[in-house]
Amino acid sequence: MKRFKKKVLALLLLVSLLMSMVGCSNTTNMEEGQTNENVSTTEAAEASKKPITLSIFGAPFATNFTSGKQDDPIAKAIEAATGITIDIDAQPDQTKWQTMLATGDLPDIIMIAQGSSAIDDVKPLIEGGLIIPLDDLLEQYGSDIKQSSSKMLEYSKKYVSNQTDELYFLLGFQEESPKQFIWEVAPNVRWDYYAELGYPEINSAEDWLNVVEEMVNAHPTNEDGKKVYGFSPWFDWGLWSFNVAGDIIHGLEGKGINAGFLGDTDMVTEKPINQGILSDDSSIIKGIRFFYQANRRNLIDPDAFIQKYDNALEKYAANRVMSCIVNWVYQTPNALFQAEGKTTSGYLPLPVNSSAYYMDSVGQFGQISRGYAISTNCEEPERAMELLNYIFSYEGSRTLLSGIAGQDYQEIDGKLVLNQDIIAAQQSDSNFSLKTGIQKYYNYVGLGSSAIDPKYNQPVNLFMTPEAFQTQLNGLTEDYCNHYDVSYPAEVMYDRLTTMYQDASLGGFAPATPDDLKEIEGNAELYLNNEVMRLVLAQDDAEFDAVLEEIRAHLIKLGVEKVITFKTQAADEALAKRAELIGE
Amino acid sequence: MLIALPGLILLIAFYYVPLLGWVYAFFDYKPGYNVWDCTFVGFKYFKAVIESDDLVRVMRNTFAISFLSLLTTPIPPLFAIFLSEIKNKKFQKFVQTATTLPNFISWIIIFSIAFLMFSVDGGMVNEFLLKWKLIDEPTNLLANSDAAWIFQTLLGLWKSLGFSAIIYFAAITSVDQELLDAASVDGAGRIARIRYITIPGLLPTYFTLLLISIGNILSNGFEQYYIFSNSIVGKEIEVLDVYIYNVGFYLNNYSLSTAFGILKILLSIALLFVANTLSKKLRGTAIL
Amino acid sequence: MKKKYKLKEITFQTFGCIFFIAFCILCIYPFYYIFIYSLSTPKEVQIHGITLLPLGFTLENYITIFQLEGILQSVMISASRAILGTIVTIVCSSMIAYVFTRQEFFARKFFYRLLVSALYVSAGVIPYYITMRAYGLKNNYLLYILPSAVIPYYVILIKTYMESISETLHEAAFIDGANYPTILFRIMLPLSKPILAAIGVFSAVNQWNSWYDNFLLVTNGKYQTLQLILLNFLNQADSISRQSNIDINQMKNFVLTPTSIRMTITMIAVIPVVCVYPFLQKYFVRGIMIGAIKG
Repeated sequence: MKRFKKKVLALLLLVSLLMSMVGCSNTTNMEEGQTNENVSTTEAAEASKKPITLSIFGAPFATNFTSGKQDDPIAKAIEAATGITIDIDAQPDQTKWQTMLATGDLPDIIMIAQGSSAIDDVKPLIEGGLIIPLDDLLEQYGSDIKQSSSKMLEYSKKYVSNQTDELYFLLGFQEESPKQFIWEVAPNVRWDYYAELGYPEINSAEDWLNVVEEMVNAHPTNEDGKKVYGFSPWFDWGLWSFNVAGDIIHGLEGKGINAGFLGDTDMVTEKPINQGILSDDSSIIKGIRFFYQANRRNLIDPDAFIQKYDNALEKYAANRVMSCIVNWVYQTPNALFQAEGKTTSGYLPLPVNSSAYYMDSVGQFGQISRGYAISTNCEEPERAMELLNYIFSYEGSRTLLSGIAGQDYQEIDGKLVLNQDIIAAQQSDSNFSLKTGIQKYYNYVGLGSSAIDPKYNQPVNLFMTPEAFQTQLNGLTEDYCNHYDVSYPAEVMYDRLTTMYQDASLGGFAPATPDDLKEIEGNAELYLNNEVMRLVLAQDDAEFDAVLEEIRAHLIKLGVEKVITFKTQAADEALAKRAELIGE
Repeated sequence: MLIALPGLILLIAFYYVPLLGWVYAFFDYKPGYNVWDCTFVGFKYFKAVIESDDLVRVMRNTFAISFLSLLTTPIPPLFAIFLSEIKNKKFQKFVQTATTLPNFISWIIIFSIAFLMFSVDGGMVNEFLLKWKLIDEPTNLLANSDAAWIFQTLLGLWKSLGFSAIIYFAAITSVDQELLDAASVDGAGRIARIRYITIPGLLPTYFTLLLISIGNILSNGFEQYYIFSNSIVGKEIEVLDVYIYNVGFYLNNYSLSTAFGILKILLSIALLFVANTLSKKLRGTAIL
Repeated sequence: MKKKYKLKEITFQTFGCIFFIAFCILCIYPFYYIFIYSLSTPKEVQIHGITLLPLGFTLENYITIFQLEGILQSVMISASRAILGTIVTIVCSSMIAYVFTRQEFFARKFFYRLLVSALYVSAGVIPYYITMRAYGLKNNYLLYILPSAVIPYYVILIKTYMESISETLHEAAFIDGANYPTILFRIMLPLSKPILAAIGVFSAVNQWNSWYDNFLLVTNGKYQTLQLILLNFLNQADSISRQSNIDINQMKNFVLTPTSIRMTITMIAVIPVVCVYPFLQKYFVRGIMIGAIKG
């Protein structure tokens, strides 16, 4: 018994030692919220500079940095300007969001788009009294927002307020014409082999398959002697591959389309133009047919049907895949070629022939999926508004995207110019954005990269101007630009496009989809995900057609035609409302 | 029986009190709204569950795979018994520790390794077989829907064998050493000793675990089958847990998911009690 | 006769060893693969793959992880919950398991059925969150200890094991004037060391690898568990590799691949357990029973 007692005593000592290290004495009451780190005077002027911490539930698609109090140079700049330290939950999760909604345990500032679609969050947040109206705060503390975002404010009050006509959400990422250095969605191919073949024209899916087949025949193995494939898609992202491939093919054929499995949208008219999988000329059908034909011609990696995205990446990194529907998978091999001195080897997107093509999704009224709101739990809503005011000001957005004035860029002759060393660092440093904080908060800005600051007549993102792009060329992209006679790769597309942006604000104008239609759509997608491979793996055209018939019949039985009708009506309504707001 | 009190309180507090949340299944509940403000729909979602198209296929997969798993339940105890017959104690301990390693590897990594082994292009197994001319064309085991059930069962066995055997290593020690010694003096060989003494000693543990596993027939586990699912074998290995996840993902209907969960739990408990009654009738003892 | 016996014995031992060695290789090789992967340069191994030796030997994966913010604190938290949680679990679970072995326990059948049914019930995320919050366990270290104090599966195992301990021991103890608590702590627990050691392993492993309770309910930086920090880091790398809505330049130079991080995380999750398990194996020993009845 004595030994037992001794053991217990020893354990208790260990326990108390651990507990003291853990320090559970003073922090058990800390809710998500803020800690006032300095108690200062009650003078109003001083109080506005009192350092506090505000917690933000971040954007679900921007999980590229660590959660917690941010302390990079940009976060410090925000602190200097507003006195606020930002504590961001950078791994927001759908389940966590639901529990927060259910209990009202929201942090100080939230960003919507946590649910399957951002607009769905609006109603419960407002009706549940979980967020506060911002009209008064805007008057007092939001002068910069009023100056930079008047259109957004009007839109938010009318369409993102659950019909209350009060201001609840500040929608970020406002811009009208972003320009990128290079674009993703295209027939990406191995550039040097394409040059070898004499830069053949690609005007259809057939051409694309032919060119890739010739490339594979000319170079059947990579440097290690391993077999090369035309395509190595991954199918664990649902219907994504088919939609994207279909859009590309439409582009090759001269039409700008945004795919939807129950109806594509024409980029020019912004209306649905077909019935998705039920029509023969929709993006998804074109995409499925494309992979089916690629498979018949043995251009697809046999592992494509079983691999996950991570496995696929390995193949691309090893130079074993000639072509892909997106460009980012080739980052590693492209970088390696440059490092090895094979400066004209690599993979680049080929331009398409339409005058309308998807390059970006923009919101002249901001984007609902980047909508800020202040929760009722926030104990210092005035300071929260000050923070948002900063983020939505030209200076603030510019700091987040381009760096600190005077340090990272200088004003020369009334124009802002990036410093050489920061440009060089962005190209070479692997942790650039995490270290400098520049563009770390890319998804949190109030004003998008191309928003023009009236003071300098320049976009707020100095890295994303055509002048800046010209400094970012390497051997491969320079060769590409020489061939197409442009100064940076994406210019090839910008030159030939008249319609290139999808309006992200239409979602707010559209009526909410009723629950029963949502259910039909959900069931349809679930069914299609299970069946679509039978089409790709069909042995011949007869089988393909037969399976397609079967799938279509089943979908009609599920009731998708009702959904399609609704979407067409909804699009018309949305366009009418937008016209009303703009005053056409 | 005051000793029992803290334990019972903890049990009820953490396992049964949250069940009040089952009320969500009876309303058109959406997170963010107060449940009592939502429309009461009674058994609408339960009906929806029973009427789902895919349910028959999913239940077939679930029962088939669970049945195969149940067939493998004697393997851990036999493994433990035979390992304990090996003379070298150090070797025993080494094997005990080494075989528990797969249990700690997450299914995502197991998939990576399986891909490494069995992929068509460059998979180790295929390379080996092709090199030694045992086959002409590479095999595609991960896309083989006929072998899927057996393959998944074997994978599950490999992963859990060592770790499950831990319980049996512990249980073997409760087998009376005196009895074993007496038996070998009386001339009983190894097989006889195992058959008449060790195995009966392990039977209570084995049957308890077996009954628990029967209750778990519907819960094969989500991760394994979700990760190994692909466009070709997906339909064969979509078990109930994966199906519930997919429905939740595409339909995003909290009430429906809750209804699924409730039915699954009730059915599992029912299975357990049926198995228990059978066990009583057949063996004379039951765990409940 | 004796020679034949010896031959049989040797054959058995040899074949047994071969079989076990083969199975061990099957278990060890994947683990070895993970180990060398974690020591290889991420981009190289992504391109070329490895079989028996690491490629481009580097400690970079580990160094990056050890430099993550809050990692040391989280190791302390995970370790402390593994130790504390296991102790609490063993004590509470065995207490109630013992009670269930006593026939005279009031409504024993009913409560035991309640326990076993608890194996299968789970209420869903939102009710779980609401309940824990109502109990004041949000942002509270006790969240890691209390809910897992009684785990039905462990209780069932302990009870089954205890039932194999002879009833005559009880009778003898009662005659000697002992009461229930005394019997539990002085006799049953020491005799149940093997099963308690097994439960100890399960519980410690579970606690070490837990992160979901932390994820939903604990935002206080001081209480983060190791697994959650690692998981967040993995998600971060994953999202960069998908180039989802982030600036194109971020992805180009990010050095670690998600797969490398996964492998390294697995090593970190396993190594402590592999160190502890051999210590607990010494409890899987026969012969504790012999003296008990006689003495």
